[in-house]
Amino acid sequence: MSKQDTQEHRRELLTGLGLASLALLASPGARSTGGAARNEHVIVKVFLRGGCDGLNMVIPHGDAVYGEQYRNLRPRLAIPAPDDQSAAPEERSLELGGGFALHPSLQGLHEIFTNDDGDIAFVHAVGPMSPSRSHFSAQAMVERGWDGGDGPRTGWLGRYIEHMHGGTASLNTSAFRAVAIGGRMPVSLFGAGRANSMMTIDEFAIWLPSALDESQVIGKLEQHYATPGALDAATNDLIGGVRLMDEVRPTVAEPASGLYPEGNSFAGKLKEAAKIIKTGARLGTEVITLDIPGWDTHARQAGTLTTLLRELGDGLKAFYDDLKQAGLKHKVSTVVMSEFGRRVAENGSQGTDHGSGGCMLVLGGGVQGGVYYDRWLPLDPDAQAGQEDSGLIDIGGRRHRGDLMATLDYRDVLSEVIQHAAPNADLDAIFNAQRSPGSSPYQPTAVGLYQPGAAKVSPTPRADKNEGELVDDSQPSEALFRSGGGLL
Amino acid sequence: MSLSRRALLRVGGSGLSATALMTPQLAGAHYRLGLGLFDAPNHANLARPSEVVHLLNRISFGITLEDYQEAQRIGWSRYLDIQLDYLRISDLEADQEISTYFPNSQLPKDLYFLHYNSRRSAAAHHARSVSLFRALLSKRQLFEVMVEFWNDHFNMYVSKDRNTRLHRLLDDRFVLRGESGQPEVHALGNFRALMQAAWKGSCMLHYLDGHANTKDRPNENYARELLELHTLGVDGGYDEHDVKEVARILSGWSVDQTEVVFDPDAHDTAGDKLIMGHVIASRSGAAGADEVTELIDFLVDHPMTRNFIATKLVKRFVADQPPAHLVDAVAETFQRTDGDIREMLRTIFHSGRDGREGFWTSQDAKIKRPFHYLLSCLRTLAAGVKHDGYNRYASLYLADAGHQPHGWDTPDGYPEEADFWLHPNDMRERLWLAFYLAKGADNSERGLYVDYLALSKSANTPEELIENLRARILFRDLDPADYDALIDFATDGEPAAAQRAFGNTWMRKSKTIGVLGLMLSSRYFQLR
Repeated sequence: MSKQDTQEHRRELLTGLGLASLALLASPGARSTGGAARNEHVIVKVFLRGGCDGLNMVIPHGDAVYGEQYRNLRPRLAIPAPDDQSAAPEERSLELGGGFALHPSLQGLHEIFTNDDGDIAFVHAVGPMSPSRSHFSAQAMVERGWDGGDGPRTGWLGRYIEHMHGGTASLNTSAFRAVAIGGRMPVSLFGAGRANSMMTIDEFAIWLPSALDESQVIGKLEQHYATPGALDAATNDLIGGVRLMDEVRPTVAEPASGLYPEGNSFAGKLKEAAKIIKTGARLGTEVITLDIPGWDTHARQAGTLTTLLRELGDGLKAFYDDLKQAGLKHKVSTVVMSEFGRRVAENGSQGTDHGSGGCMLVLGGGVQGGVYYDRWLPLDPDAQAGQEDSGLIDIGGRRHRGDLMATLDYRDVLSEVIQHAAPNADLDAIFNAQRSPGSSPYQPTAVGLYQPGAAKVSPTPRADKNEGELVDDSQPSEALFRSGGGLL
Repeated sequence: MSLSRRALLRVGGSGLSATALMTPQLAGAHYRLGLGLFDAPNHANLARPSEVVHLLNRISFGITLEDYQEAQRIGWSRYLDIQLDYLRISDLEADQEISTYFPNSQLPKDLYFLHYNSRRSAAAHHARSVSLFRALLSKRQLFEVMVEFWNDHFNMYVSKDRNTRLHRLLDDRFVLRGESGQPEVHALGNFRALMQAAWKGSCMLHYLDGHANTKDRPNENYARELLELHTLGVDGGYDEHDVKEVARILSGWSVDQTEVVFDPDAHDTAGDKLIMGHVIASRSGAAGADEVTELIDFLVDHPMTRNFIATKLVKRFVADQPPAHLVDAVAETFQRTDGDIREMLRTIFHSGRDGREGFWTSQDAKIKRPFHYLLSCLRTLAAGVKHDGYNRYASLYLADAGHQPHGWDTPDGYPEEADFWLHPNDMRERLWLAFYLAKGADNSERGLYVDYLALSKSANTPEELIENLRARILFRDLDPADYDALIDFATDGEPAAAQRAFGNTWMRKSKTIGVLGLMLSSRYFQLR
């Protein structure tokens, strides 16, 4: 039984009001002549809720200490190295070079890295500079684009929507400027002037009994919800969105069958995202957010992580292929993040506890494929906490159960994605909103995601690679890791 | 113009200034304007509900005609006292329903285990069903509201694994519903007693991996959430060292079938434990089990815990942005009564009559979360519910709205604040439910049935229809503009026809469905 079964039928909501007039009514700014048109580059943010184990996602098996001790620190969770002949081939991690390898479930991403145009960056040892091991504090922090406590109530993507053209107002009045796929509005979108949430394009409709005249009922709802309240805004965005969607839906193209894997709910969400993106100016979307829950792997992690990473990797690969075929891969930047990484050593339940530094992924045309980090410090569990040359920190001041220390500010990654997507975006307004007086403002440091040669590890260049300019700067793993320091 | 119309004009006018107290100047959708986590979604322009309606909106899952009349008869204060003293209220109907349809869910622990051990999905299904049925049918509505409150506070995701599926119902029964036999261990009992029972719930130990935490293989998941979510709060002043020390104290506890057991050999006794400057001596042997009792007492005695619990209660029952003086008052009651939950609630429900912000200045300051919205529709509409259909029909809405009982996967529980819930897709689901129920739901009477014509008392004119449904569904006055809009709707734009009989039966039915759906969709029914 589904909701649809319980309905007699559904009629179009569109009445006399056309889509253009609606959009104009919705935003006073649109009546003026000045302003920027819709930004054609879409940022897609994927959040791995629960704290993704970055160390088993992108495995630093070449780490001077950790690489050797990996099996001691993670006796039951270690992923075999790419050249581990004692392991079955399908259990071995996938070589990235430079001492890094991917979890075997991330075959799809490995293909992008090696076979496609190298349009994927793996950013390691990244996170807030003031980490929190609380899911809820850490998520609130990174969803708001903040570091430490307090900060603004709006989300970084909400502020991006408002400041993507610097001081120039946007003329894009679509109710779908920002879309949360999955039915919830994430904190990162708080503050976005025009945002909607949906499960699927097809479901984004108001269902009414056939006994009723829909335009009459909707008209009354609009009349009632006309005060400045939260219910009113949600209802109005819904109604405006439904009208626009009713107009656009017949033009939405389904992807080629078989492109997206079946039984992968994340892939299903990405499929909706791609459909929305392909409508271009018709839905006018500039930001899309998606979530994958379930990364809080305190116990029996191996199976869970295998499943989750496959969902992630296969989904992203299908999404990438879809956009590439549509000629849109240069118009979409996907960033994957989580609230924190997990502890270096496994716990007593074949799982890992909350840690700090983690992994981010950036995917899209123009990304210079590779592994990125700031300083890679040896993961030596016997080092003293806080010791200069140790890559581990331990918030509690105890040894042996350390975290990977984030040496790269996650906002540096977001800043570069933003600048790539919207060169005029006001990064200061986005990342320094409501900073308390006297505190030092955030200033982005270059990561080089879009800059040839900046990656610490790059895929072997291919002759037919159309990005050009990539130099092979992958380094021998031992040398890099023994050096203990980064290049940035 | 009818009498009731004139009466509500008067009420509407006087309501403005009082509700404005709680209203942010710029109340907008929070995801839109970014007003953030603590602003109320309320509306200064709604005529205030009566005292009884305001109270029932907050202490029940929806106003039934019977509850309304009873509260009107005896007054809100006495009605509240009876609800707080919940054992005085007979709950036969809900009990019978559950023992008829889910008899095994009530079995003693050992027999429960025998029955459900190989039927764990059924156990999870029954845990959800029991919550749904009790919220719908129980006469002990405040008790049920508090069970939901603590189920959020001590959140356990029923579908985490096979163990949580089996055990979820047990923690519900033995911790919150008072089946432990200890007098103050229940949702309206004493927080200290509740905390001492909740930490060793067999489901809780599974859900937060406490059962796997041993001295040689520490797992600090439970320790962290015990401090962050159950007692001190995230800003409670503990650090990572404290988390590890609490994990040491909690080491050695596990679950054998349904019994919580302590294994001294798995308990960490390597040195005393130091929590926030407080020493808890390590004890070897069976006495090691006492460490956690001492820990819980220490935590419950901590001022941050009082503040944390008081804040959550005020947020639940007053406003997303809790007035600081009221939080202080509730924390003070906590301290004075050593954690008496009833007394804390009394402090809340008597607040705001002294000119300061509080319960009695907070009308419409909260939005009903989806579970409450569904239940209030069903209860107010006196929906006919068949046991085999109820869960399925409830899921049609609750699954998509993201608010299934025991369905929140992370340990922080379903969010309380409106800005989490209020967004276009959420409104879409609410509108679906409102009009689906208004049209009679599943008219075949298989699962869910609403007799909308009976609710309207078979009103024959637009004016009668609106007045009858207003009195029966909203229990409060309409603002003039809303009244006019409904008249406009029911007369198809001919207000002069408001007192003329509907042209035909079909018109009467469709207008009844429409007016009912619009009322259920409106702020009057979405807010609480």
